[in-house]
Amino acid sequence: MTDLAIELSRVAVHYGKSFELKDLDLKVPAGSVYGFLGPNGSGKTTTIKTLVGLLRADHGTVRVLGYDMAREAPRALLRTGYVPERPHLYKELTVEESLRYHGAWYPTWDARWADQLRGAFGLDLDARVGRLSKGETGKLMILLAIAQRPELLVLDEPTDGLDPVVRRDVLSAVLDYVSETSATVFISSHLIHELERICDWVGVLEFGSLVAELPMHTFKEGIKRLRVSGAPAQLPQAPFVLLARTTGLGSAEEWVVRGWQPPMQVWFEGVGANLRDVVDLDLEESFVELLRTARAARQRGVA
Amino acid sequence: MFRAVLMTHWKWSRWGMLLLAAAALVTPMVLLGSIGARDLTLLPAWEVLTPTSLAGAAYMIIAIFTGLWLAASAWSVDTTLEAVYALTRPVPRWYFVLLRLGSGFALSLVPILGVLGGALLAATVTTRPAEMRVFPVALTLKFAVAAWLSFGFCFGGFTGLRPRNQSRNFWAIGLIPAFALLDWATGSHVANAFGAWLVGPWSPLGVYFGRWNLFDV
Repeated sequence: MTDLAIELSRVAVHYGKSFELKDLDLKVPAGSVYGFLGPNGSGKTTTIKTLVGLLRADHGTVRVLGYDMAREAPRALLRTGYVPERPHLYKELTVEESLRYHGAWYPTWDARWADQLRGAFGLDLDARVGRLSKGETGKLMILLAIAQRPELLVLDEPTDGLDPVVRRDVLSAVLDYVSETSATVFISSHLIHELERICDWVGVLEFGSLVAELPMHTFKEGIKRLRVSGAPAQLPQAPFVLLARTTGLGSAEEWVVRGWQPPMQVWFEGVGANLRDVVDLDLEESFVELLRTARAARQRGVA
Repeated sequence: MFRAVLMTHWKWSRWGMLLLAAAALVTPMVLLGSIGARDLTLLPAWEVLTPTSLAGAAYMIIAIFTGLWLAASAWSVDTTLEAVYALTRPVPRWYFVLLRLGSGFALSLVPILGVLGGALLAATVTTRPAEMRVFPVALTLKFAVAAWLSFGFCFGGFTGLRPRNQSRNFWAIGLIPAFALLDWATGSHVANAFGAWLVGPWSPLGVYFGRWNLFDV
């Protein structure tokens, strides 16, 4: 197995009349739980559909588990569990028939474990898929993806619209599987706090391009809000990345910076500014600041 | 894998298939009922052969619907689900299509067996004059070929059929006025020749025409 479970290189996907993905580079380390964040319409689902071969890249390369998806998609799919955004299972089948149908495609299918999971999830074998509740359908989709014992799980908003209890069940099942097998998980979600809890890598997508891709701890700890006074309008080269600079209360400004380290305080003395406060941002705030910066940069580019 | 595909195809098509099989099974008995006698030696041959020809049309219709229903049920559920489940199966797409095609051919055996059963039953319960022969196997084979042909055509049409296939739709629809124009320019010779070929023995549709008789002299 390669060091990267997923590798997208300069991928563009044209969907309708506009580009959904434009020169997207994405690297998901093998064995990681990679959270894929982005606002609605940023291209998350398009990226995932491209990963599992539902959409074909107009240019660039998509490699999943070392296989080129343009030529070797079936081999990659054999080792990939996929849970789409919307239920994709055949509604006329019963749960038992769905298990049999799904299992028939995978030589690694673990029927015993599938049955154990079904019992734990409280799914009735004779129930028709079309009659299952949203939560039960979500559980069944996760069950099917996990019981095929994949090396990679691709989950597109798997807990969207589920109640907290079902969400916990679903995520627990995924985490149990990951801890047992060291599989890679690529998960997109709007629920940022949920990803904060389970992911060790995070990628943020906006307008079809990646605006950040880094380990979760770096993402959480590296983005800070600083309260600064007396800073000149034109700043010399800084040792951190200044994401946003806004006027705060009184004479102080609020800066959002990435890559912050405590020794960087001395830089402020050098430029004649006064660093008053350093505030930790949680993942959601960091995410919002990143998007704000990306949008501002895009508007500047458009203008 | 094939069994799994067959199972889903059966689930989606079973009521239609059973209805068509039942129709195929009872058609010869309905025919005999319309004649009003099981001892065919009591009737002049034309009184047997005329309704037999009419029943042949029923077989043709059942065969066409068998193919249409099997092809439609092969893809309709996936189309509703935007084919996400189908397209993420870990096999090449041509192989998945082949599995669905195979399951359709396998399921066509249901009405085919219905035809055979009905024909054999009719052959068993009737007494025929020496010059009148019964063709249950030939009729079943003709029905099978007609059903498979119908399935093949419809399956090919439905496979990969998307609203976005605009270029293919454009050419397919564009052929109609082109054909009409050609026919007008040649004084209807093209249409006549095409029509004759279509119902002739060398046409792929030739199996639907000609004799479908269970009893013949």
